Amino acid sequence: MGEVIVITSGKGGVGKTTTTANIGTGFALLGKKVVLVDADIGLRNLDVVMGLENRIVYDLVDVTDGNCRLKQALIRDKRYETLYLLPAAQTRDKNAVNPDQMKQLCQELAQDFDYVIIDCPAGIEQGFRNAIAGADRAIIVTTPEVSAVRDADRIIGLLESEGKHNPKLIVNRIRPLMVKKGDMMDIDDIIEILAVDLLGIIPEDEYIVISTNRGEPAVASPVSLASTAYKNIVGRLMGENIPLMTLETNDGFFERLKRVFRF
Amino acid sequence: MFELIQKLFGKDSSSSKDIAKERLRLVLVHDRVNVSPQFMEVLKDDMIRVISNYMDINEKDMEVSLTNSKSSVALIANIPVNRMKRGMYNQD
Amino acid sequence: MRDGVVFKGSKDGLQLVIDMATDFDVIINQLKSKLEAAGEFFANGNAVVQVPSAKDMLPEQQQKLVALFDEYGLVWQDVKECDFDSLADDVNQNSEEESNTLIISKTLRNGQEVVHSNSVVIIGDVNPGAKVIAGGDVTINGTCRGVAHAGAFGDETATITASRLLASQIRIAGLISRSPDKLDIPEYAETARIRDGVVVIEPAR
Repeated sequence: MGEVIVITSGKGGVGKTTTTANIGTGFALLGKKVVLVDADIGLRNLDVVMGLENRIVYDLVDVTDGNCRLKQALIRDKRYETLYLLPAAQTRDKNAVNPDQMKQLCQELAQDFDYVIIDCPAGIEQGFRNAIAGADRAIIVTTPEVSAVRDADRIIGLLESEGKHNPKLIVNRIRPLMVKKGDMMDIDDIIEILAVDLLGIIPEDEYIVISTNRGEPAVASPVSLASTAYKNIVGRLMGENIPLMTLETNDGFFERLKRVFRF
Repeated sequence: MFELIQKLFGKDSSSSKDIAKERLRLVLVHDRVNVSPQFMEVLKDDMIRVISNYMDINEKDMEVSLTNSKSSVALIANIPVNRMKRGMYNQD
Repeated sequence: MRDGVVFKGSKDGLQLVIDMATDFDVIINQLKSKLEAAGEFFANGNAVVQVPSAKDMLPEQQQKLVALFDEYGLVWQDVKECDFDSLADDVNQNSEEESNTLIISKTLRNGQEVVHSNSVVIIGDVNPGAKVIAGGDVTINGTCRGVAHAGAFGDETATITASRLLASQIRIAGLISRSPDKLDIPEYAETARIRDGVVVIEPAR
């Protein structure tokens, strides 16, 4: 039986979809059988971030409505043999599915996959409740901003009341220079307020924009700090004890080299 | 050597923003059509009207859809023809 | 002046205990000011209140009471049979012998609320966006960054104490106070109380 993990945040735009894509691809690079589930019905995005947007025939709501079998809706990513995507519906809304249906779907998927990773929509309404219904554990993504941390706190409270205890935290889009100058909250500040275990930190990285443009999750490329961060997170999820990256505040060799060639 | 360094920093021959623009264009064509279900119906009716000037067609078995491939979106119509009408193409 | 009107929490729910020896107009006024001070304690419309002394009231007295309930969102509940006399005695005593203190051993998160008619002790933090509303004192064994309201029924002797008082808003009875703009992180536990009509923050004793 595989593990069902939901990636949530409360606040929008903090990096849930990017995180889902990269953690999923990270597992697939290690040969694990993974299915990514886009639970953001009506505003699907996981397919675009994965570069699979033109392969969609059936979606999650087609499956729960019984229009097709689950296998027909799953899209296999040709770049990684063991990576699959269940896309969201684009023309319906969050009420097209209910939590019991999601629970059943997750149980079915967990039979065939090592990891079922659910991309949760922003907010705390039906979409959120659907996404967490079938989850064994939750990962909360936040950025070092007051509004994101407040929303994350709310989500943690809601998860606790739904019986999803002990969620883990990812702090995304850290800018080490700003943290050093005292213009951005650091990890300790955030952990102190949220009081949950830290799963990983991801530095702000321009390469994420490029990877989304291309539809190729960053974790597959060796060139970026974010890629390393995501790989570390995947390792920790599998039980390895990987220390947190130290984020340099001065330019590394590659940064300066890139500037020489004007990239 | 330079190409190697270019590849190392992930800069391909086409910039990633151009790739993004193209993907976005295709995905939006698809999204917009799907968002208005009436769109296909109206398109179908218009097509039936025009084509019926030239031939009798089997409206019930007519299929119209948008297909989505890596580099293009295509409107595919499968229209069974019963018979050709006379007179429309004899314009003198 | 003696309290002619006291809210009591019991296993049967919330009760309004009225000293029928007090002039009824005085009672109505005291009740009104308590309800004003309670702010949103009753605002969500599901505060069910029993009035044991109702059976001893004149019809027009009861009507006045019902009208006041309606105005402030209280729901009148008919009283089950129980021992009224001992309740009325309590009104004449100071009400600090409440053994009904609520103790919560977890951190309150954004969106969570604790509402209690007597005193509340939180063993944990109160995060931004969380609220503690108590008829009695509020004691937080942790950092308070949310909203704390003590003396919600108008008890101006109520206090708020926290290991670290960084509350976004402090309310005691009907007085509201904001945390200062320049926030020095306190090194020691502090208590907020009303002195001379204003909310002051002092080191906790």
